[in-house]
Amino acid sequence: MNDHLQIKSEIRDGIPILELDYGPNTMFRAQVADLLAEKLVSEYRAGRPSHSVVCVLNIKANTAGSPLVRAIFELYNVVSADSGTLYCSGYPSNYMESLTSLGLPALPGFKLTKTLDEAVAFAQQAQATEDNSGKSQ
Amino acid sequence: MIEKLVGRFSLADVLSQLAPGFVALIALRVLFGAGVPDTVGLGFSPGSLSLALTTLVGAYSIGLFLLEWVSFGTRLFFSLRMKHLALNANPLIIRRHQLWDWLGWTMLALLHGMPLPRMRRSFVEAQVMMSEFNENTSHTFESSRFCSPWDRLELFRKLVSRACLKGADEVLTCAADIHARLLFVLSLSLVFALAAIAGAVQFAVAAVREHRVDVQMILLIATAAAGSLMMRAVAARYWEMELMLVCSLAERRRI
Repeated sequence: MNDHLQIKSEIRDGIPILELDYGPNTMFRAQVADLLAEKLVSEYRAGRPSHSVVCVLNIKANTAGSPLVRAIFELYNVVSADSGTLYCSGYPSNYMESLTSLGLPALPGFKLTKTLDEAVAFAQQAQATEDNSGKSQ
Repeated sequence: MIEKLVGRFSLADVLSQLAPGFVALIALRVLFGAGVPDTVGLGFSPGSLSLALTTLVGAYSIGLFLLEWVSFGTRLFFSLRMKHLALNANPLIIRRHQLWDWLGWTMLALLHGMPLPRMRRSFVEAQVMMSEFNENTSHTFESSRFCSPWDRLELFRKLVSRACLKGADEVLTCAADIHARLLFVLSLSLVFALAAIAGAVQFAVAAVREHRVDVQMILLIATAAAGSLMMRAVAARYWEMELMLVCSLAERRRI
């Protein structure tokens, strides 16, 4: 099967990480945007620690398209609704131009990183800052 | 036959292309020292009639040329602007521009720079929605790669008209009317910007060669630059209005 769709969620050092993988044909499937968005949001809600204000999305697939952008945008809406930040790593570089032309990377609370480790490091920093400001208040 | 020919052009089309053409012709005359054309003395002699016709055709041709220039320049500006915004927010991931890119960008911003709506969620949502709709309707993949927000809206406006919606015609006619005004304002803004740049070059040359400062020229440059900037602000409002109008159709369709 070329169009398998896999979403794994894990918590690393208190940071919720969603790992997304799919085959090259997935982007051509009908209604895939809704399916992807629904799965990402439900995985995030189910695995998110209560105090967390960050989320890391790691994309392992080599292709992207409007359905993926829509799904990321829906996840961003949920994360940013709690004043959180979504870190997105591994977005296929060949498709970066279309992502920038849609304006998603320019939104506040959305950050792109090259690798998963980089994303986790940034997320940990942001979470620590948030925890410290919470304590001081 | 003439009726058919005339029927192809609406009055708004003709005016929106003629007016910037006329302004460009007048700007050329003023900048190259011929002064403002005197039309009072023109009678109905064959010579003056042919001059008037030549001017009319010339102005219309220049207007058409300006229209194409404006469309291309604004498209390029929007595309680079989105890239810059993404670069500013994510400096580690997106490729930095080379020096030549920055020079091109400066030129583009001088001639076509226009305030974009702030990067709010609703603006990005509209972009994502239009992109999805355009790709689904045109059966293309990854069209966002070669589309700027300018193209995306234009394509969406054309494609959404295929959907049979009650009351859509009125909205689309209104959007087309606003689009015509937007192009008209942008064409005029381009003429003013070009006049300001040409005036600044003339001023600099005169200041260096003849060591004289032409106050009249400074006023002309300032007026042209201010006019161009004001028109871009107006154009930005028109573009936002067009975006809202056209996207309202998609909301009703619940894409």
